[in-house]
Amino acid sequence: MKNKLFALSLGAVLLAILAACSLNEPRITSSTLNANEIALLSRLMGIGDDIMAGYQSAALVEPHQRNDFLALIARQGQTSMFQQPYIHYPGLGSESYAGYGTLELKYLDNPETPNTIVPDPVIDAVPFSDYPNFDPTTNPFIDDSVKLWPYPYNNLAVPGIYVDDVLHGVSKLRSRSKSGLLDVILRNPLPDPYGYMSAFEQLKVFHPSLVLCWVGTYDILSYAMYSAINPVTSPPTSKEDFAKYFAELMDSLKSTNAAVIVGNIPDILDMPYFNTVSRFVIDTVTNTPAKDANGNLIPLVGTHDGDLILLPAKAFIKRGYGLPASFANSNGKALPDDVILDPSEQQTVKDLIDGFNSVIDSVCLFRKIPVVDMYGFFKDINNGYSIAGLTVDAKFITGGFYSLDGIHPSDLGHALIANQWLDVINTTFHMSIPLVNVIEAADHIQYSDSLLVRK
Amino acid sequence: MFKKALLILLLPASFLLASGFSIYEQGSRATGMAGAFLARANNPSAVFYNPAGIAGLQGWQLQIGTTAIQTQFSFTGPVEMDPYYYSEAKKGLFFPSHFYATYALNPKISLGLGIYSPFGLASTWKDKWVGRLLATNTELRTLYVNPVVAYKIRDNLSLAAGFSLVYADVVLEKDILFTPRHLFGHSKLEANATGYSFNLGLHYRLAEKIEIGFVYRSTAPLDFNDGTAYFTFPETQNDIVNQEVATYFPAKTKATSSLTLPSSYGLGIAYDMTDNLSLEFDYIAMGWHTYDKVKVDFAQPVAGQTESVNPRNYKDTFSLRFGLEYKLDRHFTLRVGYAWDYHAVPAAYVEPTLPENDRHNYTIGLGYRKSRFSVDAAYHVLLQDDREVKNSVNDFNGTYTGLANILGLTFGYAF
Repeated sequence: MKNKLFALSLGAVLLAILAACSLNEPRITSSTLNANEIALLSRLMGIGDDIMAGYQSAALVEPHQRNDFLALIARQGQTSMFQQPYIHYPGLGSESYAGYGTLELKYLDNPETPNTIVPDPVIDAVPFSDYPNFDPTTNPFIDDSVKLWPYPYNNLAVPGIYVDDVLHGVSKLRSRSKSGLLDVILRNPLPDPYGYMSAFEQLKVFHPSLVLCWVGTYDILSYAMYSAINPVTSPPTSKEDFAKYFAELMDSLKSTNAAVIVGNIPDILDMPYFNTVSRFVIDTVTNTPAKDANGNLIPLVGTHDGDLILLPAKAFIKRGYGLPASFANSNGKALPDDVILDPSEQQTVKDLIDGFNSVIDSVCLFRKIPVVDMYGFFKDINNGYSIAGLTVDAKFITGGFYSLDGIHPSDLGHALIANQWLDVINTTFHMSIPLVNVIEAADHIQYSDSLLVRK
Repeated sequence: MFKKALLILLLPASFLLASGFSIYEQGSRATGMAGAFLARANNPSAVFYNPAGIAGLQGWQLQIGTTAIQTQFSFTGPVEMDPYYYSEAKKGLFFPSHFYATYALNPKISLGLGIYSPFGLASTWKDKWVGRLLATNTELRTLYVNPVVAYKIRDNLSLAAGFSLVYADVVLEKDILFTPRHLFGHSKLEANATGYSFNLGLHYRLAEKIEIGFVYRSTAPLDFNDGTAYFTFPETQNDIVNQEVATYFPAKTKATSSLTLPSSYGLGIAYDMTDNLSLEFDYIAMGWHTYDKVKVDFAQPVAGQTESVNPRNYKDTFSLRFGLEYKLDRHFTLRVGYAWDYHAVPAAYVEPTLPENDRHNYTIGLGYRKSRFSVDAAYHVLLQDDREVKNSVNDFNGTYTGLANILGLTFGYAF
């Protein structure tokens, strides 16, 4: 009896050891796609302006286009055929008229001013001449497979266009915005029988399953920004015009029978482009505000209380604009109006943003089109956004969300934006398409910047 | 040097035993009974469980043993990114070991020495895992060298006191993102410290079949005064970037920190149901509130900061332990036990270095003795309740799961 009991207990102990416990792996380790999800994302398209196009750091260029939020969504949704108008490095953008492509961060802290207390970064635009293989006028694409892609690009968003250009713009000259990238991305005239087709018309012949649309930001941005060649002195699109064009665009998109998701307009005045340059004179040696004999800050000539100074003002200040005569390097001229946004202009911008957003809300509500609250999300970023130990905010260069032009989100910003859109897609269609692993995306971004190819 | 060698032998780096990072498996006989041993405390491992118990031991006695601990845990989330995203930590395998020697000086006084590791922690997550900016690898090892003296006040009452020399070393690693240049780097903090604590024990035979015990261990404040922080980033093709990284992140700098290991007290009662069967119930409380934050000070600024503070906010906890011992015959003894540990970490502060929750511990054990020689074996499975975190201070919401398989083996010899 005792022996039996002993044997049983020994057996139990051995069994316990051999059958040692293990964690149960969940049946679904990461969301896997079902047939509906695959179908919805199978013919994904994007349409609109700058951010949708993946424009950042003042250019449209392939390494960043590959990481734009539409491309990230295509990857999460396993869209089998997905092509974008990939532009060869150094890309095309706002500096191309002068022979430059994208912006690069040369120095986080200029070595020519070693005594600065606050780092003064140096940002340069990459000259086309550094890349003799790049043909910006006749073939700016990375290769022929992109240039001669036999379908409309999945991403038909064009940087620098107004809302009505999405429906009616077919080229730079035949558009309201006169954006040069219309020629590049739309590739008009197309081979027979297509001829000249706007972004919307190209989208329509593709029979998309899901369309992500983000328009209206550039209509407001073009008024608020500084432009050396195309100064925009009054808002190109009024709230009433926007209501008309946007409704027409929504009706057109709905007529394709695709599912449609729309983004609203962020508060552009939160962007570092408007909040980085101080309206007070900065001592170039220490890179901190200069003080007068009484210890007060010295306003730049031409600025007043409540003014926002645009990022390009830096270049003007360097050439002596805005500096009081007492400063050695002053050129005696006030800071140009073009790089200052006074309170009434700011109010115009705010009214436009609010107006456009209420139009978007009502037009979309009526047509049952879900709206991704980009306004709210960009506000969250402004307040500091944190996930898994990663923190981003709206600070210029160091904040992580905005690219070097101070307006358009960086690759990391696009990863965060993608999840906001995916969330709305999932909620609207009762799906569970896996969201972007932002930490993994951040790791991937390390290798996408061609300047930082690892040794 | 000696301390380091001893530490390597008794490598105590173990994760999630008892609450917080305490390890209650310090003798395989006790482990077989889910640690419910402070009232019985009648073998040399009593130096740890209740030093007053050594007053009842004869002559010279030695015990040496080890506990193999295999840990598994996982995290699903972060919820805001993907509620189904599953990350598994690397399986850990550790061998905290113990050594005890007791000597009955005279009928009233007994001396004892214990070398054991009552605190330890190790968690290693896979490379580039989603929580890499919070933690990648964490190790805490402690070693207590604990001489005790027990005094038999009366036949049924003994008192003991001891102090411990405490040695600890810690490694904290995580990745860093240098945002302006989109570069991932790695930080590693290494430090060691010595300190001391004292312990008290009381053993009382209430009746012929009933014994009670009480133990107390004080806190052990540890000052890590001579630590080092290492920051490594990959080299890029751009020398300007390499220089910037080197300016913001010194390759190596001095770092200091402090940690106070918690105090604890325990109360136990044992009852001899029959000649062969005894059972015990213990209540152990631990003062985890001393672990409120991890603050590291750097000698050189790191990305402009000279200190880094991470809140931990642990709360005091307790565990309930039940153990049964059945003497099969004069050689073999069977043991079984169950213990429940209440969690020390409040929900918002749960993070990947120690994803903790309430724990269920199931144990069985087998003892063999023949004349002067004894061997005890125990198997303990620790099942941690899933911990769902919804308001993480690290913006890392999701669910942690964990378990450990534990095998103990202890040899004893009575001279």
